[in-house]
Amino acid sequence: MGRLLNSWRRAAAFLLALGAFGTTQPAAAESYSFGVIPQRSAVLTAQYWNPILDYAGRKAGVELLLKVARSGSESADAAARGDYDFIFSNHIFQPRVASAGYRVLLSTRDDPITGQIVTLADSPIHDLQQLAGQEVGFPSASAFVGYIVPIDELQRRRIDIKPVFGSNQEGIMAQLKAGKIVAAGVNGKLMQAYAAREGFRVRVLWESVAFNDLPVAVHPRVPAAVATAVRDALADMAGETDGISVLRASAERIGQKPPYGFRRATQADYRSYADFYRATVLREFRASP
Amino acid sequence: MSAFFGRRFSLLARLLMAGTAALVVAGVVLVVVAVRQDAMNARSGMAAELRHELESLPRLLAEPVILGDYASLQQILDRYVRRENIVRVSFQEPGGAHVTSVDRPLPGSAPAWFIHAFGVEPLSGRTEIAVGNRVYGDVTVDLDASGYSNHAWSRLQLHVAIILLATICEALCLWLVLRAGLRPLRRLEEATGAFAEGSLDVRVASGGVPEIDHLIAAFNRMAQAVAATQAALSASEQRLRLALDAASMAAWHWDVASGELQWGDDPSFLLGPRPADGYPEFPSQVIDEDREAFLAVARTVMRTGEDYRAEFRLRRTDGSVSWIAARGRIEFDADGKPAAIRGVSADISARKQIESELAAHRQHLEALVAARTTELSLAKESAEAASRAKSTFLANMSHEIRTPLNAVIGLTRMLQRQSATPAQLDKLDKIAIAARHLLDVLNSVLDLSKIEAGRMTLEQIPFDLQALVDNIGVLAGDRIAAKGLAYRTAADPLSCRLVGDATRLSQALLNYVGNATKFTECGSITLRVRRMAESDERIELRFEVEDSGIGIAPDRLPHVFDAFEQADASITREYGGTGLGLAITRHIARLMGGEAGAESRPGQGSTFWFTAWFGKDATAAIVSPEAGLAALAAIEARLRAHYAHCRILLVEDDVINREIALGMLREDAGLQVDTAGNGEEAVAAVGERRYDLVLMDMQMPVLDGIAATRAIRQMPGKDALPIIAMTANVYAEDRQRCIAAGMNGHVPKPVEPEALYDVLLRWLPGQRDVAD
Repeated sequence: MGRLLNSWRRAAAFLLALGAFGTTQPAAAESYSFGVIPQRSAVLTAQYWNPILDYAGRKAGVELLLKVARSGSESADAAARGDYDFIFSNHIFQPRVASAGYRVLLSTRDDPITGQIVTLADSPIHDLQQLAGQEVGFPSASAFVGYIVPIDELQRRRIDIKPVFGSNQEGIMAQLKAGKIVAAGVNGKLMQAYAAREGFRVRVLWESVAFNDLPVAVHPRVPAAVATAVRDALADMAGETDGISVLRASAERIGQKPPYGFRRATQADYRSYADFYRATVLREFRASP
Repeated sequence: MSAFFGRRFSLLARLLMAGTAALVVAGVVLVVVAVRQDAMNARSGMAAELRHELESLPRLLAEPVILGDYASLQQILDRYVRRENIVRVSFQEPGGAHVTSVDRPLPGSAPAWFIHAFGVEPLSGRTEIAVGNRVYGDVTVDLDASGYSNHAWSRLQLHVAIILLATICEALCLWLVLRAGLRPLRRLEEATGAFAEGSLDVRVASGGVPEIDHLIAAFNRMAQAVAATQAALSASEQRLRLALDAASMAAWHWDVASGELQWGDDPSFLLGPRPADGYPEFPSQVIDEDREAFLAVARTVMRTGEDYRAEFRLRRTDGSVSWIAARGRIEFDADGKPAAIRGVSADISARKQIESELAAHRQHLEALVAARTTELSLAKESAEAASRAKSTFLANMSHEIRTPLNAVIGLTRMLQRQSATPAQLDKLDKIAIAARHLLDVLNSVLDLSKIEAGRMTLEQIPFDLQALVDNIGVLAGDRIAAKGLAYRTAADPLSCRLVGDATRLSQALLNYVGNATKFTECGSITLRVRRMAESDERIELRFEVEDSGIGIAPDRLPHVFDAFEQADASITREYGGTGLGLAITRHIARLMGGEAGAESRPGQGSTFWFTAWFGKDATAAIVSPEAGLAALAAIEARLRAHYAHCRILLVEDDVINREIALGMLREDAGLQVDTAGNGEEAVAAVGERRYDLVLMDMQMPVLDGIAATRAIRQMPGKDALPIIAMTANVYAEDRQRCIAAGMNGHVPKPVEPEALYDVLLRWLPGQRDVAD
């Protein structure tokens, strides 16, 4: 019976696809990879992004295939290699990744993000100094606001901690919630969303300045028309009835708060990242002048 | 088949085979059912397992599939395939990537035939791994039934092993139990053999299973019963021998086929001394005269099968002849044919002698009885003749005496009513008294005769008791007054008339009152009537006559009621009398269901009493005969006033009686009367003229009253003519003859005016109730 249903499902999807694309759909849409920074589990990431990419891809006339790396570092490495045609990540601003040449197309419509060092609300730690010598969790070594920004601050304050890495943002947040770490460096917006979803409270020991949230960027190899089509499809989603429904449904899966969707953006909207990399005390991330 | 098994296999073997076969069959059924059940479970289990895997695998594989981590995916698939019954898990990406688990063939322990019989095929299923509307690929799971078939095979082996074990245990236990259980049977078998060989005292000890014990107990009971029966038979045989010896009887057995006759004991006491060469054939010993009958009985018995009975004379070997009685019973063979006769014989010579003597004596007795019977018949005839003569004499004497008495009394009455001088009246009174006394004596004698013959009967006619009591006073009043005695009556009032014989009651009371009058010189006589007992239909009264007379001596009192008994001879000389009145009164009282008695004190008086039962009558009063001259005159006046139109035929051959009757009818009652001198004249007169009533004398010349009445009744229109007999014959059978001839009533002779007028009032037309 399962086999039969699966066959019917595939046939229906195929027919739908044919109907959606109409006569103007090319015989076979080209596929482009869409890499997403692993901020949560791959399944949750796919549940969030696949409907969006499916919608935008059909709008753009291409097939956008989600790619997720196992960890932030692997994702940064893949980005540095230029594995993804499109990418949703701020790793592209890291000096070693910037050489891949990703160009910003969109930014999320929601508020900028900040880096935070948080503890549980009932933690006895109230000051960063109290973290000296402690294990502090971070999403990954490549997480910008989750690791790079906070560790820069700690090093500037000469607070020596023992970094512990999780697989992704929510992974380290889970360890904080479980009490396995006394503090964590996190994406403030993601922390808020996760805490609200999981039902616990955190105390922010430190918060960075705001940075624009993760951009959608495109690799130079992607044809401009495709890039533009994808950009427009994603940017217009929030204004479309079906698009906003998709965005809303996906946001509900991860507890994301509105506004949903994307806006057109450029590299200039992310100058703050470049400025940070130029000024950071972290030698491995410092950009050459 | 049952015969086959019955011959070849013991009970133990049969039980073992049957039990084993049953277990095996049950086991096979169990195994088949279990295997089928396992197959069903396998199919459903595999289907459920496949569903479960197809539900859970997408969740498990989504992460590495999304990440494109096919290495991890391969590891996962390789690990997954180790799960029970999964032989392969594979992932197929739409783009062509295919990851398959390593093949892990499942070990199969079940043989191919079982797997084939088990019939559970491998099962595969496929499902998509779709996340967020994107189908990343299909995962396919292949299940193999080897695990289930192996499990089923293991269960089969276990079941078979259990069945084998059960069979072995069953056989072993059965063998042990039966062997122990059958041991008592062998003891029983040995005991039965010994019993059959004559050891009647053999018994078997119990101690096996209850069923065998019951059988052993039954055998012991049977043995006990047989032994007891055998002992009883032995004792019976001994008693039989003793009985035969005591009865001089000998038992014998005659075989039909061989004709051989065997005696149970020495038959010499029957047949005589045994000759040297043995007794001759038995039939030859039967004397010639009896031999044919002897043989005929035997032939009949053989044919009919009835018991053998014969008596015949036998010539003994010593030459004497004796009577022999033989009794026997047929014994039949298997085909139902007579095979032998077994019986006993006895010498009955002495009995025969006695029978002969008894026969002779019986003949002599019969002659004696015949002679005696003849004598008794003659005596009976003589007695009957004497009785008839006595009755005829009494009837004739009654008639011969009453007829002239009737004339004397009637003519005396006529003279008394005609003008007569006082001296003539005095003489006429004496004549009347004497005639009446003679009539009373005659009536008493006749009554006694009837009493002795048991022929005094009572009438059941309504009457007024007070009137009867008053009439007693009227009838006896003259004599009482003549002696200057006071007379009183006292009767309990009654609310109704009585039903009974007023005439006999009056007779009984008149006897008492007459005796009281006779034996009282001064003082009083009191007649009392008291109520003794009463029901709705009957009443018992006590009548007492008390006098202040001479009394009766105590030693004579018990005998005064005996016939012809008076207080003493001096009483007879001084007071006269026949001695019959009290006997007649007692008899009348007893006929009325009562009793009579007396109390008396010499010199002070006596009280004679009797009790009687009467019926109660609530009907209208019937005119009762009025007594006394005043009442008689009233009746005569009534007849003259209301019945003068009536014509009566008086049939009377005696001139004086005719004259007397005519005086009563014509002169006193004013009726129209014709006369006839005999029955023939009466018949002719009735045929010529209409009469309202016929008074018919009975004994007349030419044609007597009975014949004349029959002749008149045969005449047309004369069946309703009242014919009244005037008869001196007072016996009930005489009255019955009158009624049978067609007469309606009778008037006794001598004819009393009251009785005559009562009949006339009853039968003449225009009869009216006498209320005044």
